[in-house]
Amino acid sequence: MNLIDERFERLKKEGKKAFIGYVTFGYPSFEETLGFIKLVYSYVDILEIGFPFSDPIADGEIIQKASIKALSEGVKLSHLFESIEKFKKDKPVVLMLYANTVYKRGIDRFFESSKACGVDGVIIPDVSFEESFEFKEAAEKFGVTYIDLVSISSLERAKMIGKQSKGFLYCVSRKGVTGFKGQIEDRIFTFLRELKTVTPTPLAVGFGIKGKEDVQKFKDLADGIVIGSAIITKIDEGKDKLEDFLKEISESLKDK
Amino acid sequence: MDRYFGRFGGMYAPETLMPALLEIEEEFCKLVKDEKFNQEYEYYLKNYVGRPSPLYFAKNLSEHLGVKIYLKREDINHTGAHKINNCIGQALLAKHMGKKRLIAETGAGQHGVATATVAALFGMECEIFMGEEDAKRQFHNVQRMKMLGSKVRVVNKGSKTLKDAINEAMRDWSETFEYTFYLFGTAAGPHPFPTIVKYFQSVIGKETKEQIKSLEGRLPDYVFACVGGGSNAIGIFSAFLEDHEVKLIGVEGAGEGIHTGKTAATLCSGSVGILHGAKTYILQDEEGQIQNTHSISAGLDYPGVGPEHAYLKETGRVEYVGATDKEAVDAFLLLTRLEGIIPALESSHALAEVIKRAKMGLFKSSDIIVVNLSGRGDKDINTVLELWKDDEL
Ligand SMILES: Cc1ncc(COP(=O)(O)O)c(C=O)c1O
Repeated sequence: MNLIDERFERLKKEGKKAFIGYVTFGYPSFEETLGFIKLVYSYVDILEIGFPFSDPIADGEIIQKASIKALSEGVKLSHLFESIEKFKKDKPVVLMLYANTVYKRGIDRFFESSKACGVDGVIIPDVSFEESFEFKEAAEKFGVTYIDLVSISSLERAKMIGKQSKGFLYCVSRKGVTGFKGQIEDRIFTFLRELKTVTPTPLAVGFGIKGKEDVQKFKDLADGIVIGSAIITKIDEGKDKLEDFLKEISESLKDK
Repeated sequence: MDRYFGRFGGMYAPETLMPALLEIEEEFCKLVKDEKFNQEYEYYLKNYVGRPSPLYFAKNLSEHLGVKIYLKREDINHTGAHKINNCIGQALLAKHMGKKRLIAETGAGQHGVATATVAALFGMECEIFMGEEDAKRQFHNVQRMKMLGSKVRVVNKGSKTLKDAINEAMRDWSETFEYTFYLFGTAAGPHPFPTIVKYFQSVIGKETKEQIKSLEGRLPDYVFACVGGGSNAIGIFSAFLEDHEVKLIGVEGAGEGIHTGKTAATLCSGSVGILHGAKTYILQDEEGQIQNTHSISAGLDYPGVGPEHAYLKETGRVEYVGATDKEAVDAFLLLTRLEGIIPALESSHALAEVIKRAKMGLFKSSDIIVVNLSGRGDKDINTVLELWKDDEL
């Protein structure tokens, strides 16, 4: 069994929800990034590493800025692969990156290197379900889990995608890009409930989750929550603040 | 509807946007078959845009270069460029879909002005996204958009040009698509935009074909058009794709030169990748990061290109070349002096290639050449003034 499935099974038995934490590779600087990544990795159940892209259309202000900073630090895909090898243990690591980064390296070659350095799953936010098949084929060939995204903007499509999903299903909880603008809409709860009826794949909710209060709202309906922009914001406030935040979130996911 | 042109195109879009794209595809498919819709579109083309635009025999330029040159006068259209053809069509589509707000990206400002214009015409709310660099270069067009009642959102991220305006418009759209229609300005982006834009711009090619037949009794030997995203080019080429005796030439903005790194000549010096929703040629580095572009002409300053052009390059049906900033400015001044027509800097690139070939003796004197004059140059006068010396020519 792969690490992602294993992790969700274990959490399920323990009655816990997965804490999926996101960091941008190369942020806040070339020297410091690995330290922050390791810190986040020590608190989460699944680590999501974003590899920066020059034109991140699915990301909001905070991650966009982090990506641009990371690129100015000169990070390369090879640096990312080398870093993962250094800290990877038994917790799953998932990459989030844009289609062109994968395509430019060569889709097969990309998944082969990912597997070799210990990547368990890949998320490509600008690849729609319709265009995902050539990526999925390569992922499968090299034993990496291809994680689908579904959006609140269409339950019908979410159900179609959910029927074939692997690892976990990344449920985008709000329209728009990553980050937190406005309120979490109530219809996300119906959305999750409905989605649960068609797929056994664990559901992870992301986009716009700020902190403990938001986490509480999803505890009964989702199997995991993804926190991205909020972690980046805490990185800006320093290691101590980030650590307090990670502790708070992971505890709020564990108590019943 | 086909998502692909050969191996190019597709819908590489965030899942959030997929329902919006699929809805547009579905409504467009229905509407193109609807007699009433097509009549309405044609009504506005004729009575509002001023179509058909003339195919003008440029006598002085022809004599100067020793070959027969016709200009397809898209510069005479209302708002000054071919962009309005597409805007009328898509705005009618948006209205039909019950959308209340239009958004658009713009480089040179021509698409922004055209979108702001149709928003005023059809009483819709409108917001235009424009890179800071372009907003500076095209100050006048920014003012025009505002007067027409649109908001202009100046984007100060990335290269501060067209690609960043597209990124920002996509972000906005993914939040607002329930009431907003993204009126995409060129034959690029995710499916179905390349097909929709081609449909609404194909009027240029259809008219040209009829006009040249009645003027010359035959098809032209060459058709030249500039290529930014590729909408005016695909518009005029579309009528001739099956006529293999007609040579089709697309001219990109080469900036300081195709191999100088300061260029926007995507098909000439780029490689295949995925950007803004489509698999196509793009300007990128070895890691797949998108490169900054350079062209004197804001409308050509884009690191991608419509996927059908990538396909037409690969099949060899169209030849793509680049013209430099300097060549474009020279062509701008030459046409202005010889014909009393001030062309857009974008269109000047197409002219520059004709001039270059004529000077190299690459045409036969019996050749008939059509150049798509995609727009007028009023917007570019400040840019040219910075380089212009009175004694030139
Ligand atoms: C006059 C004119 N011609 C050409 C272009 C390039 O666009 P496309 O390649 O889509 O025709 C522009 C874009 O702004 C323009 O304003």
